[in-house]
This record gives sequence, C-alpha cells and structure tokens, in this order.
Amino acid sequence: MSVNRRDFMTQLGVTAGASAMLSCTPGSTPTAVSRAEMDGLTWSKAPCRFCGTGCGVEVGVEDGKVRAVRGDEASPVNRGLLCVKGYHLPAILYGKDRLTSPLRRKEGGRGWEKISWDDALNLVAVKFQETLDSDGPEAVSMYGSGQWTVFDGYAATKWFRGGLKSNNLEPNARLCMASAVMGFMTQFQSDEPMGCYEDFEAGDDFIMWGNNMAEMHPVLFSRILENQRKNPGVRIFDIATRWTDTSEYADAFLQIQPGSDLALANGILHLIMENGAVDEAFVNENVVFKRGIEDLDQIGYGCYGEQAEHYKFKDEPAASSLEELETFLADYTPAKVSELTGLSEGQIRMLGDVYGDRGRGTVSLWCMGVNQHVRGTWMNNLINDLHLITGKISRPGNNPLSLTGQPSACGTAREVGTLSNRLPADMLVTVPEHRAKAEEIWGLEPGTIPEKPGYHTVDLFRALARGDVKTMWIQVTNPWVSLPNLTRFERKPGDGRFIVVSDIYPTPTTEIADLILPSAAWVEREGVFGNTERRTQQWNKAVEPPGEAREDAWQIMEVAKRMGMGHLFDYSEENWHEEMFEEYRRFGLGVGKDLASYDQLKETRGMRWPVVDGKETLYRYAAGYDPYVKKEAGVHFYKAKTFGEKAAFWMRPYQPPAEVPDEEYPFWLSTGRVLEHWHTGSMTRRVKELHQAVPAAYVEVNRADADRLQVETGMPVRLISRRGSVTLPALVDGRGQPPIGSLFVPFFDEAKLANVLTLDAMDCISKEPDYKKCAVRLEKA
Amino acid sequence: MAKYIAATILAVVAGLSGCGDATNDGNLAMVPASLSVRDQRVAYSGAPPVIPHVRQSGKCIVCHNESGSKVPGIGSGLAPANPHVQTPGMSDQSRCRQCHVFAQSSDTFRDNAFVGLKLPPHGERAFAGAPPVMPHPMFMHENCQACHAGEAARPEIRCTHSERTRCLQCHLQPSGSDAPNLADVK
Repeated sequence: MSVNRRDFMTQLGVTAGASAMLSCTPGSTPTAVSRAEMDGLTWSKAPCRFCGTGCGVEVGVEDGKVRAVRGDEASPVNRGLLCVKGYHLPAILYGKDRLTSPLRRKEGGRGWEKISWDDALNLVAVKFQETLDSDGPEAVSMYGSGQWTVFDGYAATKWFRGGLKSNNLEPNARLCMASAVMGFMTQFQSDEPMGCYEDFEAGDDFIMWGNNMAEMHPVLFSRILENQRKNPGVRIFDIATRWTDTSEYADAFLQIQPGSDLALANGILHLIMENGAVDEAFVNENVVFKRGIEDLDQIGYGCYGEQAEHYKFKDEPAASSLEELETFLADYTPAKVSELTGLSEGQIRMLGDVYGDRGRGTVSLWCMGVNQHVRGTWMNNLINDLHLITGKISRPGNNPLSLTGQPSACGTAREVGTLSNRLPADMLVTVPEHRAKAEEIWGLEPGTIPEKPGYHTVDLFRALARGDVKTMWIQVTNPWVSLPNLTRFERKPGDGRFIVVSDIYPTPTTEIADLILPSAAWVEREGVFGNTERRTQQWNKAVEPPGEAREDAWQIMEVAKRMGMGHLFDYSEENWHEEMFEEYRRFGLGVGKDLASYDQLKETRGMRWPVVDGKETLYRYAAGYDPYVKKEAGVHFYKAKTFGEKAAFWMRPYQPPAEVPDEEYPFWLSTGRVLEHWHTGSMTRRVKELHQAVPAAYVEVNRADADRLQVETGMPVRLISRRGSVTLPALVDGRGQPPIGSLFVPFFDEAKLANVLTLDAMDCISKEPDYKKCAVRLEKA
Repeated sequence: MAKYIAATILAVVAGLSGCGDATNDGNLAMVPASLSVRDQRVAYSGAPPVIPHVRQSGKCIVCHNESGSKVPGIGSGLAPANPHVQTPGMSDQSRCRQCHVFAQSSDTFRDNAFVGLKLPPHGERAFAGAPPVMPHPMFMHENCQACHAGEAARPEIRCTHSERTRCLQCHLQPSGSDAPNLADVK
C-alpha cells in the first residue's frame, strides 16, 4: 500500500465530519494519520547506496523526486539509524551536472557532442567487434565495480565470458576486497564471512585490525558502542597505525609500525601456544595445518620489472602440523614482536590473553588496513588462524568478520563473480566442471567460456598503457582517481585505444574517455545489492532517471544485442530483473550459496544466504544455524572439500613492506577515507552538507613533526614520493593523528590526488595493491 | 481537518542551537526567521542538522544534555537538549558526529538541485482546542521535551503545558512510523 497526500485528502473529504471524532469514539480505531498522509510522500525501501554495511533506508518520493530518506526501523542492519552520508543520500541524485545524454568526444579530441543512444550503443558494439577481430578477446576489457547491482555485474560477466569469450572483466573490488576473498577461499574454500552482525551484540571483545570503524562503518560501530553501554565489560581494542575517531572509543589503543601486523598476529599465536590456550578438541576435529610460499624473492611485490608482468610463484598448500607450527612460531616471542611492532611486551601479552580467553566472545574486524597490504592474503589468513586455533569461529560473538567497503562488493564482485578468474557462486574459470556448469545454465556450447583468467585490475591498466588492451568499458567507478601510482596509467585520447565510461557525473575518468554514457543511479532503477553479512537486498525503482540516463545492465545488454549476442539476454521486457535474478540464483542452489527467491527479497529487508526453505542463515558452518551442517553440535567446514571438509590454518611469516622511509623520503604515507566522503567523492562532494564538512583533502601531520618543520594547520605543504608530488594544506591535531614520522591523506579529492604518491606494489596472491604504506618527503610549498 | 494540525514539523529537527530568536513569549511573528534558520541547517525535514557553532572542548552532551542548558557566549546562549536519549540503540554515549558534522566551508563543489521535504509550519486543528496530532515520526525524537519545552525550544513549537509529561495521552502519533510493517512500505 502506498498512499499519497492527495488521495488521503480526497478520502477525508468524504469522511471529514467523522475524522475529528476518531480518537474518542468507542469502537473506532484511532488511526491518526499514516506516515504517507502526514508528509505527502510515497515511501519505499532500499539499501543505502554507500558502504558495505547495507543500512536499510526508506525513500520518500514526491512529484517524481526523492525528497527525503529515513533510517528504516524495520531493517535488522541499522534499526532506523544512519550515518551522515546515509541521511544525505537524496541529494546525490540531483547534482546539476548530472550526465543526461550520451556524449562522444569530438574529432580532434576537444569537447563533446551529444549523440543518440542508438548511435552510442552502435559505436560501442563496433569498437568491441573491431578489437575482437584485430587483436582477439584478450584485447577487450570491462572494469566495473562493487557498486554495480547484481543485475549489472551478472549481465557483464555473462556477456564477457559467454559472448565475447574473454575473461578481461574486473571490478574495482580488486582494489578493496580481493585479499579477504583469498583469505576465505584459501582456508574455507568458500568466500565471505561465517559470522554476521548479531556478533556485535553477542561479542565481548572487539579487535580492530587497522580499521577505523567509527568513520568507515559508523552504524555498525554504534552497535558495538550500544553493546558496551549495556554490558560495561565489553572491550574495544584498536590496533592501528594512527589515532582515529575509533581510537577515542577504544579501551586500548595499540599503535603499531606499518606492516608489522603480520608479526603481531604471529606473536599472538605464539602466546596462545605458550599459554596452552589452543582449543585442541576443536583443532583436531576441524583444522588442518598448511605452509605456503615464504620465499620473499619469489613472491615479491609486483611493482616493476619481471615480477610486475609475470607471476610465476605457486602458493600451494604444503601439509604441516601443530608441532611444526610451534617451531614456526618460535621466533615470534613477545620481545621480538615488540621490536617489530613498537608495542610493549605487556600489550602483546594482553592480546594473547584476549584471544586465548575461552570465556569471552572475540570478534576480529578489519577492512582496508589488512586488505590493501602487500601481504593482505597472509594477514587475512593469520586473523582467521587466530579464530581457528582458539575455536572462536562460527559461534555467536566469536568470528573473524571482514567488513566490506562497497554496497555490493559481496553481492556483485564476489557472489556474481566479476573478478577476472571467477564465475558465480565461488566457481573459477580455470576449473573445467565450473565452466561446464556455467555453460549449462547459460545455454552455451561447451567450451565457450575461456579457461585462462583475464588481467587483474593493476595488470589490466598496465596492459592498457602498453597497448595490449585496446578497448575498455568502465562502469560505476573512477579509476583515474583511485588507481595507485596514477601517473603510470596516464592516458591521452587519440592514442589508438577506445574507452567508454558509464557514470552519473563528470569525473577525471570521464575526462579521458572517448564516449560517455549517462547512467541511472540507485533508486532510479530496480536493483539488488549484497552486503558484508551475506544479506541480499532488493529495491524497486522509485523515480525516473534524469534525461536519457539508463541503467548499466540495460546498456550492456543493448550492446550485446548489437553484436549478435542477444541470445544471452532473452528475457521479457517487463519482468527481466526477476527473470535474470532467478537464472543467476540457479548457480548457488544446493551448494551452500543459496540466495533467497526474488519474491522473498521483495517482501523482506534482505535475507542472509544460504537461504534454504525460505530461512536465512546467521552463522555458516555452525550446527543449529546452517542447514548444510548435519551434525548435532559444533561446526562443519563442509565447503573445504580438498582439505577433508576441515579449515586450513596457514603459517604466514612476517615480511617487510615494499617501500620504507629512508633519508630522502623520511615519512610513512597512508591514504584512506573520511566519514563524510565516499571513495572518490563524485557523489558526496556534490552534497552541500558533506562537501562543506570536508571541502578538500589535507595531510595529517603529527604535532612534533609540524613543530620541527614549522608547519601549521592550513599551511600548504608539498608531499613528494618517488612517483609524484601533490600540494595540500596541513592538518595538525585534527580528527586523525598519525604518530611522529607518519602522514595521512584522504583520497576523495580529485583536485589533490593522493594516488600520484602511492605505490602500485601489491599482494601478489590477491593482486590487491597496498595504498597504506609508501615513503614520502614533506616540504613547505 | 484534524490531522494536519498543528504546530509544525519543526520538531523533527528543531531544537537546533542558535535560535537567537527563541524567547519565552513564543511570539509567532518570529516563526519565519526561526524557520529559515532551521532550513539552513537541515537538508530536508528529518535530516540531521549540521552543527552551527565552532568546535568546543569537551563532549557534546555536556551542554546538549537531556534538558538543554545555557551556554553563554555560544550562538544564542542556549544549547538545545538531546532528543535521542530514549531512541532504541542510542544513548548519551552515542557518537554524535556519526550524523552531525561541522561546516568548514560555505561554498559548494558543484551546484545541486535537490529540494528537500519541507512540512508546513502550521497545520489545521480539527476544531479549536483539539490536541494536535504529532506531525512527525516519534523515532529519534522520543523525548518530546527536548524540542517542545525549555528555553531553547523554538517559540512556534514550545508547549504551553510541558508539566504534563504524558504527551501521548492526547497527542496521537502518526501510524506506521514507529511500528513499520511491510504493508506500509514496499
């Protein structure tokens, strides 16, 4: 039911005489007014457009425009609360420079001309076909996003793998979540967390690993704060390289040297062994021990030279044991770990006691600090290890819970599988049975899907710069602000490449495009997102997109049709969303990745997979929660087939970062976000309240360094790395405070690009770059 | 028309500080000024207001406590009460800056055409003397007194009988707003 004010007034006109008596007439229902009648808006549900938390909002529409949002009290995620970005969602649709028609770069490169959709789609189809004909399927590419809806990502993967026969499809989630994916895949052989948001109420100790949750996942952080208020014994431990808003609320602020989290996690494991805190019964039943690659020269950092283009090492799991673990950990004594991390031995022992205490629920939380890390997969492994060896996993209040940064990093990048080596439901293009299953569901000839993985993101842009990739379509992301070491990927139109960019606003990425396509945003189209806790959330279109803007999935399907691949998208015009979703859903049914039916998603505030018989799953692998676990009690890691349905504990050593400060570049530089802005700011900077709160990027400088260099807040300073330089105002004693010798720059500001400084070193297992550690010099500008 | 009564919607976010025009006489002539002050601070009715004063030392809730307080020298000299202390999931320990931000600049990055929901400042009463129905949802504003009583309350929504603490005895709340169900929202 939706009632608007006019209808209500009409109804009232008829019964006006009675209305005054409603509240005092015995037997009548004192209805007062409904919300819709109160404010004249028509309300519908949607998940928030920003981070991976997946807050429910109600969207209020009047005269075809979104006029307000409210935190959805019926959403189990946020229970009516939002953060400042969420409250300001409506304005992201109404920036005056919305892209409203397809634009083609004029001959000679200067300026843009409006063209029709038909011409634009034909041009894309022709360019893709030309490249296929001249250079083959490895020269076409698509770069999407964890902000793609499930429909967009599914259309893209089906078109690429099943139509173009290319695996050169990547999401920006490679820059964000790939290390977490590899962590879960290498240990549980199934992606995504076993825990869920109920852990925020059930847990006793919350360990932040390089995770400024107060700013990045504020609504979830508020759930922890509320737990702490009700249960004063609840503790927050903030393991961090700088003081943040999160530190302010922490019971212990544990400042470590950049990259030394690897040593700290091993140090905690060492103490768990030493203290006899290993849950031996759990380990014997559910865990196998593995060793992987440890040769630093072999694995490298993937920045330049041989390593940059060829990843030759293998990270095969070699059988190991608890006894060997003891030897492996012998080096990580509190004294040694103290030296590497900068923590005191007492602080390290405290963490050993926290993880080792069987009487308390322990939840580890992490996001970019651990994932954007040259050993991100290893760090993910080590955090999962801490929970495996103590048996603190798949139980309420005891879980490693990796947080996601984008609204559908889980739903689209990971579950649909838009990474260059993946297929839906955790399947891989390299596995013949997986390709066969996809070909069967998609109705394709056997052998259609290529088995060789495509380029991962950083390599994809390197290949574009080299000229090996000639045609690229970018949707819902802004790589010319967000790629690391940006100058390496500079691009000038007219260089023989063809780049199409679908977006809602002009950005530095549309600036270098050859063709711009205007997209529909958020509630301007029907959509599905999947959040951090495996919750799939559906929303309906609430308003028309502006001008000629169209949704990304439609754009993809129209190009496919023009290339003779219309058979891939043989859905009805009026109900294609549901038909596509139900087709996609077939991938996960019966394999532990069961999504709820489209009907059920429409009726609910999202459902957490696996959804079997209409019931969602709070704790995966746990008896009594997960319908795939047939045991009476305990856990069963049933997805880890090649480990004998046990989880793998990986031994992962400490290795230093790719670049460390020296005499010439004496400061550490870390980059990241702020509460008010989301990613590259293309939406949030167009919202007055958010822009005015944080109008420009700055560099946080420690008070002691500022005094020494005679720098004050607001003074322009130049940061110089081996790769580039940028001038920004200094911020001393600000919201975030780096320690002496460390700096921090937020990356949202396209006028002050943090990423001309950053290093494109990466975790060579997950191929996720490290935005958190490089060396710079600071000079007065 | 019984329903639109009243007072106003201002309540939703009303109590912002800096109501320099807030006086005890509740002079309705001041309403337009008060309204425009409010409009500058919220994107739409129901959005969290931006913080209109410069950063102070100490915690927000020291001044923005359950009943509001006098803060000589800052804005109007009156700090409105915190209306969220009874909100489920919130308390006086909640993180204010999750939703309320300081403005550091008055310019814009790009122009924006968003027009936020504004509710009429005055509704109709069913008949003279009838108690107005609440024109805004209760959620986030369960503490009626925070906005409708005390010196920092905006004059146009200041309650004449705040000593009668059971507001819901006479003022109905909009249905659906605090007991959402799927029939209501699709």
